[in-house]
Amino acid sequence: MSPRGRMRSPDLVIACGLAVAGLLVSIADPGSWLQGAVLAPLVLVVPGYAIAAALFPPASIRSLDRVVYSFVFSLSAASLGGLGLQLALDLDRVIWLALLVSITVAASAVAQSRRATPSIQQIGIPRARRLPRSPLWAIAFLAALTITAGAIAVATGGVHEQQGRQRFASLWALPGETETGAAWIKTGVWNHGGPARFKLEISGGGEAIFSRRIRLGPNERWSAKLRPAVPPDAEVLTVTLKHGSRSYRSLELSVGEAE
Amino acid sequence: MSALKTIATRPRVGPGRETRPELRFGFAPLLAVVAALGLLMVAVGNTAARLDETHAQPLFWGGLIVIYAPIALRLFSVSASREERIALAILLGGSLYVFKVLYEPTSFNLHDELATWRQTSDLISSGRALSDNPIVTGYAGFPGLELFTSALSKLGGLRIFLSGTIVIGLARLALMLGLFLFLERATRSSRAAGIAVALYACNPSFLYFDSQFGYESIALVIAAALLLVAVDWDDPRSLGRRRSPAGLIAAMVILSATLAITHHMTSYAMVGFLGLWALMIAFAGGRQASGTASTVSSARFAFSRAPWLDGPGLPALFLALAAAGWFVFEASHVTTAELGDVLKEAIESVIHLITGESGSKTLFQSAGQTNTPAARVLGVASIVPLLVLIPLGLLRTWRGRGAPNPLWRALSVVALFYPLTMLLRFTQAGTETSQRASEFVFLGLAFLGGLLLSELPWGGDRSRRLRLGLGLSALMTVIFLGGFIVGESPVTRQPGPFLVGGEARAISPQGLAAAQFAASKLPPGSRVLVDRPNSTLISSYGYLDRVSGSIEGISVTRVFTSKRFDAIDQRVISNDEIDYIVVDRRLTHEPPAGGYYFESTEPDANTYESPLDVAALRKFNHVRGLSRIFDNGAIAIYDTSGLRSK
Repeated sequence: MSPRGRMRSPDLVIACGLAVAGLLVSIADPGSWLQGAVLAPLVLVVPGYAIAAALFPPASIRSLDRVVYSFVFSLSAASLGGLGLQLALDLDRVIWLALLVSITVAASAVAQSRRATPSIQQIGIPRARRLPRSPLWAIAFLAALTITAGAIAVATGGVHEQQGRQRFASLWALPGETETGAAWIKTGVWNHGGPARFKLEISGGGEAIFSRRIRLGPNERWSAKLRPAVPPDAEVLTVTLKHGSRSYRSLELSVGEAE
Repeated sequence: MSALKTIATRPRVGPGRETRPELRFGFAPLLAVVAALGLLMVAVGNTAARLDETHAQPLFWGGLIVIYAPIALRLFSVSASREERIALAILLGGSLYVFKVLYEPTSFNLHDELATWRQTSDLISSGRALSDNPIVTGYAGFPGLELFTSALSKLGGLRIFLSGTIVIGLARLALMLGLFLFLERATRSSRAAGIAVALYACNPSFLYFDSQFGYESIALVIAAALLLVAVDWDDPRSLGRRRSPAGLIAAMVILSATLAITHHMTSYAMVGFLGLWALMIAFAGGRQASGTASTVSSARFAFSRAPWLDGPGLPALFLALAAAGWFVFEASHVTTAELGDVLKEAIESVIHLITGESGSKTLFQSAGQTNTPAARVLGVASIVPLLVLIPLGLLRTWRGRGAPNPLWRALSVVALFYPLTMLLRFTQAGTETSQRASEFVFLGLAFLGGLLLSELPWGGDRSRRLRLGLGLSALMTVIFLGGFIVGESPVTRQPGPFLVGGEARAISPQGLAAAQFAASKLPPGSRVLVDRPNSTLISSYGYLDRVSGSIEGISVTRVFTSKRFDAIDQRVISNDEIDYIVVDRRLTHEPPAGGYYFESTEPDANTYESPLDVAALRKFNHVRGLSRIFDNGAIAIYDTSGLRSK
C-alpha cells in the first residue's frame, strides 16, 4: 500500500487510541470514576464500531446503521469472545481488556486495509449533516436531561423515604464447635432503624448463661463470638433480644442430640 | 415554541458559510423537555404511591400521557423532517426506559432482573459463564447479556446494577433506531416508520418487561440489527453506492451467533419470521416478483448467489443453524425446562377451555386483582383498533396497488397472530405466553399501522390535518395506555407499600436484611425453601439456591402449607436435602396478590380467597431439631441440620 493510496481514517485512529488509553488507564488504576469513563466506551461501542468499519467500508451502509451496529457488534465482541475465552481462561479484568483491545485493533487494521483498496477510494464519502448553529436545541436537550436527572433524584428519595419508615432490628445466631469440641455461638444484632438500646440474653436448660447490653446507632451492626457455659442437659439454647423490658426477638438453637 | 423550532431549523447557507445542510431537529428538543416533565410527574406519583398518598395515580397516568401523546402527535405531522422523526423515536424509547428506571431507581427488584443479577455476579466471581441459575432456569444457557454486563462491570469498576442499567438503556436506544431504520426501508417512508415505532411502543411488554435487566431486552436489539442486515441483503437499493456482500454475510453470521447465545425465544421467532419472509418471496415468484428487489439485477452483486439464498433465506439459515447448534450442544435442557412448561401449560389450558373442562379467566383480572371499570374500558378500547387494523392491513398488503411485496406480506402475517395471543389471555396459563409474544407480534401491527395511517388522505388545510393528527394521536395514546393495562397487573404498575405476593412490591427491607445475612453467614449454594418474592432476594443477593417443584411426587410447598409438621414434611426436607427454610410471617396477612405464595404450580394457586393459616408457619417453632437462626420480626430462617441428622 503506497502512502498516496492510503486513506486517512481519523475514526479508526480514535478507536485504537481509546483502546490504548483504556489499556494505560487500566495499568495505572486511577480509581473507578476515570476508569469507568475511559473503559466504558471500550466495552460498549468501540469494538463494535471497529467491527462495523471492517465489515462495511465507507458508503456501503448508512451512517445511522453504523450507530446500531456499533452497539450490537460490541455486544457480540464481549459475548462471543468472552464465551470462547472462558473455555480456557477465567474472565478476569486483564482477559477482558486483552480481548476487547485485540478485537478493536485487529478490526481497525482490517478496516484500514479495506479502505486502502482503490475501488473503495474512488467512492466519494457523503458528508454528514452539521449540527444546527442555534444553541437553543442543545439548551433544550440539556434542560430535558436536567429535569430527567431531577425525576430520578425524586424517585430515589421516595425509595429512601419508604425504606426509612421501616424500623426494625435483625437478630441472628449460629452455633458451632471449636477443634477441641468446645461450643461457641456467633451472634449479632443489625439495627435497621434509629438509635436503640437492647439487651441480649442467652439461656439453656432453664438457666441464664449470658447477658449483655448493646447500644446501636442507625444502621449499626454488632456481632460477637461467645463461648457460653452450656449446661450439659441443655438441648436448646434460647437467644433473646430485649428492647426495654419486652422480648423483642428470640432464636432457638438446637444444640443437643435430637431424639 | 414556534420560535424555538424556527431557530433550530432555519437554513444557514450563504457566502462564507458551510454548505453542508443542517440537521433539522424540529420540535424534538421541545418535546424532550415535555417528556422530561412527564417523567418528573411519574417520579412524584411513584413517591406518593410508595407513601400511600392519594395523588399518586393521577400524576402517574398523567405523566405517561405527557410523555407519549405529544411525541405521537408530532410523528403524525407531515412537516417533520426525517431526522426529527428519528430523534422523536429515540426520545420516546429513551423516555419510556427512564419511566421503568423510576419504578426502582436504586437496585434491581424484579424477579428476572434478580435472576440476571445472580448469573452476572457468579460470572464475575468465577470468571466462567453458563453456571446454573436457581431463579430462572433458562439464564444458565444464554449468557450473552451477562457476559456483556460483566465486561462493563469488571473494566469500568461499576456495580452490576449500574452496568446493567447502562447496557439495557443503550440497548433500548439502539432498538428504537434499528426498528425505525428497518421500518423505514420496509415502508419506504420515514413518516410511516415514525408512526410504526410509536405503535410498537404500545405493546404490553414495552414499558416494564422489555426494559428490565433480562436477556430478552438485549436480544430485541440484536434482532433489530439482524433485520437491518437482512433487508439490506434482500434489497440492494436500500444501500449506499457500494455494497459489501462479504460484510453483510459476516454480519449475519456474527449476529446470528450472538442472538443464539443470548435468547431462545427471540432466536426462534426470528428464524420463523425470516423463513416466512423467504416463503413469501418464493410464493410471489422469486426475487423478480419481490417488491423490494424486483428491479435490481443480480448481476450487480459482487458474486453470484443461489436463488434460495437471495433475500432473507440466508440469514434465516444462519440463525437456524446457530440456534439449533446452541440448543443441541449447550442449552437443550434449560430451554426445554423453561419454554416447555410455559407452552405446555398454555396449550393444555386452551384445550381445557375449548372442551369445557375449565372456565375462562376474566379478562383484565388476575388472581383476584381486578382493574377498575375505567381501566377495563381502556383495555378493551386498546384492543379493538388493532383488531380493525389487521383486515385493513391484509387488504392493503395482499390486494393493494403495486407489485406484491413479500416483506409487507410477511409482516402482515405476523400481525395475524395478535388475535390469537388475545385468545390466550382467556386462560391463566396462556396469559404469560400471550405477554411474551407481544413484542414480536407488535412488529407486524406496527408496520400495518404505520403504513395505513400514513396513507390516509392527509391533504387539505392545516387545521384539518391538525384535527386528524390530534384524533389519531389520541387513539394511539388509548392503545398505549390500554396496552400497559392489559400487560401489567393493577398492583405492580406502580411501586407502593408492601404487598404479599406482589412481585416487586413484596421486596422489602426485611427481605433484603435476610438475604444479606444469608450472603455473609451461610454457605453459598445451600438449598433453601422460600416463598417466591423472597426467593429472588435469597437466591440473588443471598447466594443460596432456592428449591422448588416436587420430590417423590410431593410438592415441596407442602412444607409451608401443612398445619402440623409431619413425616411427609420431614421426608421432603431430608430427601430434597433442604438446608434452610425461610419463613415470611406476613404471608398470613392476606392472599397473594400475584396468585401464589411459592410457585405457580402450588395446589391453590390463583384460587386463594383467604391468607395462609397462621398455624402453618408457626409450626416450625415447635419442631425439635429445627434451629431458628435469624429473625427480624417479619422473616425467620430455620436451619434444618438438626432435623436431617435424625
